[in-house]
Amino acid sequence: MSVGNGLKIVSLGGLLCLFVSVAPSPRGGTAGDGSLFRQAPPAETGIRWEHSNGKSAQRYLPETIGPGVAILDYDGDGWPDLFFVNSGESVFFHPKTPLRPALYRNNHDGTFTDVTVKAGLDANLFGMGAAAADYDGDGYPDLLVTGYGKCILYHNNGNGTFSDATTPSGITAPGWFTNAVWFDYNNDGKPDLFLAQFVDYSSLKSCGGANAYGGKAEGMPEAQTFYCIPRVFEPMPSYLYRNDGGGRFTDVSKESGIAAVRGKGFGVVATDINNDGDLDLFQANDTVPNFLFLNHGGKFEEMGLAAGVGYSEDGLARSGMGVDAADFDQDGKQDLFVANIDQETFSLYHNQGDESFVDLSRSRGIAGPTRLLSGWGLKFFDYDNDGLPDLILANGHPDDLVDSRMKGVTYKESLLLFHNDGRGGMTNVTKSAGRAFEEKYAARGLAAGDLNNDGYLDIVVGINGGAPLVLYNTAAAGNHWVGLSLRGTRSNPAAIGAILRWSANGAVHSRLKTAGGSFLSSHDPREVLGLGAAARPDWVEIHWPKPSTRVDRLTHLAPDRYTNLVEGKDPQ
Amino acid sequence: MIPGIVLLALLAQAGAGVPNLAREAHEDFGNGRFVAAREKLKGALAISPENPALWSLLGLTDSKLNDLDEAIASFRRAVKLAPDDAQSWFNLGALYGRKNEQAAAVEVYRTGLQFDSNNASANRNYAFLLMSLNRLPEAIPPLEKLKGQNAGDLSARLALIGCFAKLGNQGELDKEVQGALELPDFTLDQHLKIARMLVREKQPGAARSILEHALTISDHSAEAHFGLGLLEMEADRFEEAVRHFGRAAQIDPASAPYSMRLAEALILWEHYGTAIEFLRAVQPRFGSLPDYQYKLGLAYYGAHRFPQAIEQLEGVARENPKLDRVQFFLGNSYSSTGDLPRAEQYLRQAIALEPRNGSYYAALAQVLRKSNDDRNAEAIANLEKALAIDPADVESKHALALCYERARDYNAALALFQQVVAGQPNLTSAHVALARIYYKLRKKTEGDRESRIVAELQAKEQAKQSAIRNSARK
Repeated sequence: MSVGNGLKIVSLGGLLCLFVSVAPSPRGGTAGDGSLFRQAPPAETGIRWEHSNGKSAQRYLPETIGPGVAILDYDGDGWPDLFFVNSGESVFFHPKTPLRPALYRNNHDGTFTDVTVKAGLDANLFGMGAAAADYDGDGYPDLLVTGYGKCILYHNNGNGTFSDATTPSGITAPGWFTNAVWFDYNNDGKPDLFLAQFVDYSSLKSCGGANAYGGKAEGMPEAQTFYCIPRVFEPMPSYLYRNDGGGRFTDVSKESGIAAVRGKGFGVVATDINNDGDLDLFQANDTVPNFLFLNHGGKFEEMGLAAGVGYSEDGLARSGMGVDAADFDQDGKQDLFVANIDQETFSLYHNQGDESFVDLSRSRGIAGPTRLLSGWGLKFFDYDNDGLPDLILANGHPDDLVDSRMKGVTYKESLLLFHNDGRGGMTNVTKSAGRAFEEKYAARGLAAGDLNNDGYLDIVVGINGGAPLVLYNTAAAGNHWVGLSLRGTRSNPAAIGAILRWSANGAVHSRLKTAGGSFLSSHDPREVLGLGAAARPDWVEIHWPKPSTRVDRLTHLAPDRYTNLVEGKDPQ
Repeated sequence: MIPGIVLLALLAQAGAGVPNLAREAHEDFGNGRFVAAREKLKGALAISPENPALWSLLGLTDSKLNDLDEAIASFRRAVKLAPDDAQSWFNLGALYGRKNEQAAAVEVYRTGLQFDSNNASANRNYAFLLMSLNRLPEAIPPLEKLKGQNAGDLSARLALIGCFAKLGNQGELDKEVQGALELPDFTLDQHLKIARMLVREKQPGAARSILEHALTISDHSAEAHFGLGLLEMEADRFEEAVRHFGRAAQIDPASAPYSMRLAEALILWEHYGTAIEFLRAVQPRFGSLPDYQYKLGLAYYGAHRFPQAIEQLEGVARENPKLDRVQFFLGNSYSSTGDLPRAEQYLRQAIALEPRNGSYYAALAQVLRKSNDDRNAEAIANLEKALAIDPADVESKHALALCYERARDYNAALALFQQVVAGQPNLTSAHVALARIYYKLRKKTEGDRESRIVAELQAKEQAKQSAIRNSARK
C-alpha cells in the first residue's frame, strides 16, 4: 500500500497509521569548532531555573541525590518540553521561600518558557526524579515525581495543566523514592509503575567522619558533619504498582516478587534480557548488590547474582547509581550498563544469551576512564546517527568534601562521551565532544531528547545545586535518520518493549525500546533511527510489544523527519 | 691479683739466694717492670725449679707481657707442683679464656673449684664460660651459688634469667624475674638491661614484667615505654603500642626512633588519618629522614590517598631504589589511581628486587587482571608463582579462581573457590563468585545454596553497619 507523499507501507500484522511531523527548529546550530555538542546557556534557552539542593550544615543525604530531568511533550505540539525536579519541604528541610520544580514549554525556536505555575506543577516535596508516561491512554503524557517521603502523580489534563492524582491513584506508599519506571509488566497494554526505593532514612540523618564516604578527612574538626555513606542505612524494598485502568493502581510488590528483596535502589531500566517479550528490570543498588528482576509472566525472580550483574567480578557489591540497557554490539541481546562510585569502575555487561552477563568494561575501554569517577545519569544513544548506540555519562561525587580527602577524586566531575566503533568497542571521544565536556559538574539526572526536532539527540543534565545543562547535538550533521513516535493501542501507549529493526545501505540495526534508565530521569519517548550516510532506510520493522504480536515492515519511509506510527490504525 | 700471697709463698719455699731474686721480681712486677721481673723469676727458678709459687708468679708476669702460651705453661708447671692451688687453676682458666679456648678453660675452672668452691669470681667466670658454650644446665649451679652468696648479685641473676630464658624454663624464669624485681636497689638501667636481654631471648612476657616494673620506678622512662611499645607491636596490640610510643615520643620528642615507631604503630592500627596528622606535625624535625617519608607514604596509602602516597614514596624510591617494599607500595598506589602501566612497572621492579615475595606476584597479577582481558594468562602465571611461594595464600587462590573464571575454565575456578570458602567461610565475595560459577555450570541447587550463604553474610554485615550507625547516631 502507499499513502500520501510516496510513503510505502507494508503491514505484516494489521493496520498502520502515519503522520508526518514538523520541520526542525533553526536553533540547534553547530558548535563551529568541530565539537560534538554545543552548550546552550540560560541566556539563549531562557531556562533560568536552578536546582536547590537544600544543602545544610547537617549534610542530610537527600541533598546530594537530585535532581532528575524529564523530557516530555506535555502539550502535544510535537516539541519536547522540559521538566526539572527540585527539592522542597521535608522533615529535615524547611525552605524560607517555597521551592518548586520547573516545567519549560518548548517555544520551537530554541527558547523555553516557564509554565510551571500555569501547569499546576507546584510539587511540595523534597523531589528526586520524574518519569513521564501516558498512564491512562488519553494521548497526553502524565508525570510521576519521586521524592523523599512520597511521590506525586500528576495527571495531564490535556489543556496545558496537570492535576494531582496521587490519592485516587493509590500510589501513596511512604518512602524515599528515586527512579520511577513506567512499563507494562503484565502485558495488559497499560503502563504499570515501578518505584525504586532507596534506604530507611527514618532515624539517622547526619553522620560524623566514621560513617562518611572514605572516613574522616584530615584536618576536619571533630564536629564536622559528612554526608553518610549509604552503607550504614537499612535497605528497603522497591514497589510495583499495577495499572488497573481508570486512574487506579494496586500495589503488587509482594505478589509480583519485587518486595521479596531489599535494596538501596537508584537507577532502574526496564528491558527484555532474554527476548521472551516480558520486560525485566535491572535496578542499581548503592552499596548492596544490584538486582536483575527476571519477569516470568508477571512474576519476578531476582537473579542478579546468578546473572553476574549483582556484584563486581571480584564478588563485591558496589555503589550502583545510573543504569541503562541497549544492544551495544548489535547481537540481538540487551546489554546492561551500570555506573558506580570512584575506584569501582563502571560496568558494561554483555548479554551472553543465557540470562547471564560478562563485564566487558576493561576490554571495551570503559573501566580506565571511569575508575575515579562517580556516575549518575547516563544513556546509550546514537549521537551521530550511524545506527549504533553510543554512550554518555554524567558524573559527580556525592560527597562535597571529597576534594579535601582524595586528590584524584573531585566533587564536580566531567561528562564522558563514548563512540561505538561498530566492532564492539567504545572509544572515549570526550576530548572532542565540546567545551561543556571540559568543565566539571555535580551532575545527576540526564535525559536525551531531540529538543529542536533536527533528528539529532540532545542532552539535558540536572545539576545538583545548580542550573541545568542543555547540550545541543552538533555531531550528527550529515547523517540521515528516521524519527518515529510510536503509539501503542493494543500494546502499551508508549510501545515500551517494542523492537525496532531497520536497514540502511544493507546494514541492519535493531533497538529495543526500553523504559527508565539513566538516573531519576525520563527521556524523549520518540525514537531516532540513525541511517548513517544512507539517504533513506531500506526498510524499518516495528515489532510491537505484548500483548500485540504485530510486526509492521515499512519501506520507503521518509528520512530526516519524524513520523507518528499508531498501532493498528488506518493511515490518515 | 695475688702478688702478696705469691711473695709469702716465695719466701716460705725459697732456696738459697732465691729470696732476694723473688723479692726483687715481686717489686718489679708490682711496679710494672714485667720484663725485669720475668728475668729475675727465671733466675730464681734456675735455682729452685720446683717452687710452684715462682711458676705462678712467672705465669702472671708472662700474662702481663701477653705471652699467653708461656703463661699457660708456667701455670701448668705451678699446678703440677701444687695441684690444690685453686688460684693457679683459676688463673690458668682465665688464660684459656683469653685464648678463646673455652672448653679448656671450663675444665681448669672446674678443677680449681674443687679446691675453692666458694670463689665468687671463679664461679662467675666458670658459669659464663659454660653459657658461652651453651652448656646452660651446667652454668646454673655456679650461678645459683653466686646468688646464694649475694642475693643482690644482679650479674648472676641476669645470667640465670638468661639461662632460664634460653632453656625455656618458664617457671624458673618467672621466679628469677620476680626475684630481681624485689631487689631494693634494682635500678632503672638494670631493668632496661634485663628487658633488652629478654627481648633478645624472645621472652616478651618476662620483658613486659620488667618494663612495667621499670615504669613504677619512673613513668618518665622513654626507653621503658619504647620497649613496651615494641612488645605490644610484636603482639599486634597496636593501640597499646601507640600509647607507649606516644609517651616515649612525648618524653623525648627529639628521638626519631620513638616518633617513627609511633607512626608505624598508628599505621598498623589503621589510624591512618592520625598517623598523617602526627607525621605532618613532626615534619620539621624528621621530614628529611627516608623512614619518615616512607611512613608518611604508607599512611597516605592506608588512607587511600594514593596521589599523596605516590608523592612520598617516589621520593623514597629515588633515594633508595633498591627497597622492594617501596616499589611494591608504589605499584599498588598507581594501581589504585588507575595508572595501571606505571603500577605494573613498579611491581615488576619489586619482583626484580625480591623475587621470593609472593605478594608481589599477586599484586602484579591484580594489575594485569584490571588492565585488560588479554592479559589474563599473564595474571594466571603470576598468581601461580605467588602460590608456589605461599601455597596457603587464600587471596591469591581467590584471584586465580577469578582468572580461571574469566578464561572460562569454570571447573578449575570452582575447585579453587571451594578451597577459598573452606579456608574463609565468612568471605562473602568468595561465596558470590562460587555461586556464580555454580550457575554457570548449571548447578542451580549448589548455586542457590551459595546464594543463601551470601544473603546470610550480607544480613550480618548490614546488622554490623546498623550497629555502627546506631553508635554514631546524633
